[in-house]
Amino acid sequence: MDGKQQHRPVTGWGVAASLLIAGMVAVDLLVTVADWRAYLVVEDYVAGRATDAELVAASDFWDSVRGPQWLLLLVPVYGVFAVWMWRARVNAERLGGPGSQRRARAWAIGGWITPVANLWVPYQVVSDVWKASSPRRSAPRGLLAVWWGALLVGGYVENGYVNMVKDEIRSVDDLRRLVLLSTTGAALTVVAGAIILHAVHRISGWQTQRSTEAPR
Amino acid sequence: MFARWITVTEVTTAYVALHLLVNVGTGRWVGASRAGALLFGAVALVLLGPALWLRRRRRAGVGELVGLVNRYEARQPRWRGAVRAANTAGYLLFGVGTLAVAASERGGTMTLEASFAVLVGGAAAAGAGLLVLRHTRPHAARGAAQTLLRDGRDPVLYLRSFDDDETAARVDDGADINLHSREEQLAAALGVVGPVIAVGRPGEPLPRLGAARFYLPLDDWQGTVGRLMDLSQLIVLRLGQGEGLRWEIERARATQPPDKLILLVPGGRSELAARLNEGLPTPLLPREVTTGEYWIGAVVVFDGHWTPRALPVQQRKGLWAWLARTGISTVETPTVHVAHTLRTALAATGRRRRTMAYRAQMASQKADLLGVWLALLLVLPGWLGYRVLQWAGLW
Repeated sequence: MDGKQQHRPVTGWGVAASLLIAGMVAVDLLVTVADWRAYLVVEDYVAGRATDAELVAASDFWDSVRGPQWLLLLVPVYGVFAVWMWRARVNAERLGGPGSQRRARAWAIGGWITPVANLWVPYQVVSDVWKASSPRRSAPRGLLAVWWGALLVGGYVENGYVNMVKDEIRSVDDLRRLVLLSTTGAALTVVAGAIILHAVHRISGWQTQRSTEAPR
Repeated sequence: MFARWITVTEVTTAYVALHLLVNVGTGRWVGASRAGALLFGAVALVLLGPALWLRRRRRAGVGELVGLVNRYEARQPRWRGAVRAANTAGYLLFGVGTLAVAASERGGTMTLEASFAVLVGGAAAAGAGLLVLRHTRPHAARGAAQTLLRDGRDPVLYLRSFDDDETAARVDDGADINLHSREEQLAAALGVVGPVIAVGRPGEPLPRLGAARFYLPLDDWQGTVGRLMDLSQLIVLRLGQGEGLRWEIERARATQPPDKLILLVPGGRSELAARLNEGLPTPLLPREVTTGEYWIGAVVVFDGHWTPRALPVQQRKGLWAWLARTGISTVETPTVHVAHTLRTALAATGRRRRTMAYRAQMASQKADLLGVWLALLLVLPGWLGYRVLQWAGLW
């Protein structure tokens, strides 16, 4: 049944997902910039090198980049990426056969949102989709492991960061730790974002190219 | 079921009464606690008699069945108790470890270091539990006699060709860590009707997981199986090859009421339907039983005149089915679809069992759920014990 399924176009969804992911990475970098600015101004203020006006300006900038409006970006990012992932998974099964995928089709989306499973299932899904789509029938394990490791550790760092913000920052040391978490999180997001953009581009390209060759 | 509810109520009220008694001893809300302890204690005492009587009656009710399946049962080895304890510890480690990993992901109020520590500890516990369970589960499986005694209801007799056990022992992808086989899920679904028992393949080193096994000699099984058919409330027969299975179908048709027999037809095996048709007044059309998509392609039930009705096992339609198919709600295994069809089939014979599919679904997550349940069972008496020690001034 599955083998007879039509190829599902992925290029458009891939481009949309890539743009949204890039936007999310940019927002993360902006937040880190705001954290650094707040930290440096506070440090100067404590040393008597910054004015009240500079402190207020840094605080306003810090508040503005943390507004709930950025959360609205998450919905289309996850939604569009989920559609791309689903279509790419269906196509991968068509190209590589049902045996080419370790996880059932439902895990293409369910793997991201199911607690515990989301620690390794998305890696398996993306890795198998890459393998089935690539003309060489292999996936770059190291690259995908770096992507997944960065995403996972980044998620934990993000949790630690959010908890720190919630607990209120009482000293310059707290702020220094916050900046450290923010920078680490941003660096991991950039690494994970760059690799997944590459993966989306390659998988979409291969699947589109092979859709004309594979039997319908 | 009634006996089980009485026992659960009895134990719960006794537990609450003991806590209230500790309250009285430690001087917390003395008046209300004393009144509550008396009330709950009285209820627990009143229910103790009926609970014990019902338990005894339940065990006596399955006496003949237990005698039948126990006839050739080998004596339990001494180390079995230790294996069962290890198996319980495995479930506990797995369930609690998984819970810890999930908690670390949410973060809550944990610091980054604490989150990582909980993640590593949880993953190690879950991994150790999984390792233990992979080795102990077949050794710790309850035999048919023990299952019948524990349950007390008349059983569901599961008959199939031994050669098909391999297919039923496969584990489908329905959980984050897949551990439970198709047969385990099927037995869980049918468990809403009664305990599921099956003849084990003679000479197999360990029982397959799912239906509780009992063993019969190759040259003396027909009498026992025939009598078990009489004593069972449902016979679920999976069509396959083999003369033994053929005899079982003929025997069921000759001696049992039609609504007691349910046939499971493996997917894409039209030759089995053709063979079955030889003895039926109205034949099944091969396409009726081969359109299903899964390891069980169709479920067949009979009306009062042995006219068969085939229900193909297919993906359901509707919003919930779509959510499951796309992974937005819980991922469903093929056996969950079989259970949905079984539920419809049973309803056609006048038995309404709404929770069949739900039970099959839960069975794929059994290791996590059982582990957490066991942890709760340890925590509750532990908490009571701690309070008693506080009362006695020992803590």
